[in-house]
Amino acid sequence: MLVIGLDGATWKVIQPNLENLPNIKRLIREGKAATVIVKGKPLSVPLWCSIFSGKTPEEHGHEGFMINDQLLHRDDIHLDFIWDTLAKKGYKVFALNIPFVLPPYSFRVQYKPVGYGLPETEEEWSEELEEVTKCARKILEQKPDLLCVVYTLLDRVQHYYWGEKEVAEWYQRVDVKIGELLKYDTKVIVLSDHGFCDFNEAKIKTLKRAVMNGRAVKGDHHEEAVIITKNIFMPIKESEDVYYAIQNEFKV
Amino acid sequence: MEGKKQINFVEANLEELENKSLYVIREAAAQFKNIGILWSMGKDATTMLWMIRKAFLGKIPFTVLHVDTGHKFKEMYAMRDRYAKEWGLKLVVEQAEFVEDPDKHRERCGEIKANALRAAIQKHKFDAIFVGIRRDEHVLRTKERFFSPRDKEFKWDYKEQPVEMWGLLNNTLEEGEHMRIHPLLDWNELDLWRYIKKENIPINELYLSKGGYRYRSLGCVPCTRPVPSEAKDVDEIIAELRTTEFSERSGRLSAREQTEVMQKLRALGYF
Repeated sequence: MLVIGLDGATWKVIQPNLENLPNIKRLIREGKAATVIVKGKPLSVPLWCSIFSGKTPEEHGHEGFMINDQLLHRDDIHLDFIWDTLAKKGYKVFALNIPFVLPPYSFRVQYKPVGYGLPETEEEWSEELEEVTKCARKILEQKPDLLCVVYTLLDRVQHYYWGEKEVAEWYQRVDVKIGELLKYDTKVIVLSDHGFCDFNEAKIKTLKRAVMNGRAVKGDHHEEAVIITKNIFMPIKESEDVYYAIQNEFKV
Repeated sequence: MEGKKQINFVEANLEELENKSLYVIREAAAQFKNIGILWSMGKDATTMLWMIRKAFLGKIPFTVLHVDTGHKFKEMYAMRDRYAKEWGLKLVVEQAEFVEDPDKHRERCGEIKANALRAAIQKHKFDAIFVGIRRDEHVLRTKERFFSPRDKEFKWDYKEQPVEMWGLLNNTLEEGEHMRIHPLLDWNELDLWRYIKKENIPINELYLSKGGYRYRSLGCVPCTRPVPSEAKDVDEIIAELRTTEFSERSGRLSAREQTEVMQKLRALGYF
């Protein structure tokens, strides 16, 4: 089973560009597509935690990358994620570049995230695409029971380029990589943690300033996240349902 | 990116490395009156112990000191007791402050061990202590000397260390100071494993892969994390190290890396 996370991916970009995203288009045709409405703040850290732990943000209480000016580490988060649950049952599971901590967390994989998980430049976005895909393919060749992998670059691309043609171009590049991974498995979930929208439309500003690294912020997080599944029995209505949908496939 | 580069270990001539280590060990024995050996049962300290046995023809003429935090792996205690007996070691175990809560222990581990070691050095009146550190382990360790003095406040002033030119090791100590002796300073991780293979040195089973994980560096249970690895024997560890992209102490970010991430988050407007 393969779970591909796209940080910040939104139907607002996918839908009008579907003809240029052949792999996502095929997956929607062969599977099911829906929108998950995030009820709390549309922030990556609590949402990836919920997605992979089955706990709501209120239940797990994990809100950001830091507490008291200290970066959090996996050990600081007292949650069992889906890979922990399945590994305990003897399944061959891997997690790659999951951004609920910085640098993003990997399970049973040695992977050094690009830019500590905060890729900033076009070079770093390209590098993340290549390196995450290369590492994911290496894992998939071992025929794992489950691989969860997240690409973080779209979030940053959309913060900087929302409303510009660059956004669709980066989605196309991501789509190519999704296509490479889809060859390995037929049970698939492709999802985002939150959606995206124009900076002025965002109900909750996720950043303290409208400038990131000296560049104007054009987009911000939106509560409508993307979910596409293929050969997954359980419907996914909330972020935390992802955990139970995966668990259900393994009958644990 | 720097982190993506394969670590290119230079594979040194093991005989030359061993000769240098034996020279340092014998020089220390000649220059100091009462030497202790710090033994953590890890691969480095055990290899050092092995070489000290070789240097003195199978018998270790020094006190072997284990500073026990009470949080070591059971496999480490088993190894300690087994080889203390088999090798006829004069072993003393000094109990460090026991902090039951693993999180609290992890926060203070360095301080706890340093306090216990300091007390042990005073108690046993050691004027020198063998320590199995290597320069390639940590950037700070690159500044170490074969003989590194530590003052009575237990501080190491790397700027004021005596120079070691033409193989001359300086044993000068002021009142209350002691010398840390580092026979393995020139070795790297790969050399060490090649030597372990060549000499068939006993190692802790925790270094070998079990369920897709193995320990690459051993310490207290709360402070050490296994790394993904399929290396089930020493040959496979050597093969793995020849192609690894990760440092021995990978897992947590260094202080410098933490600062970089915080700077990035600040620049991005996260706080």
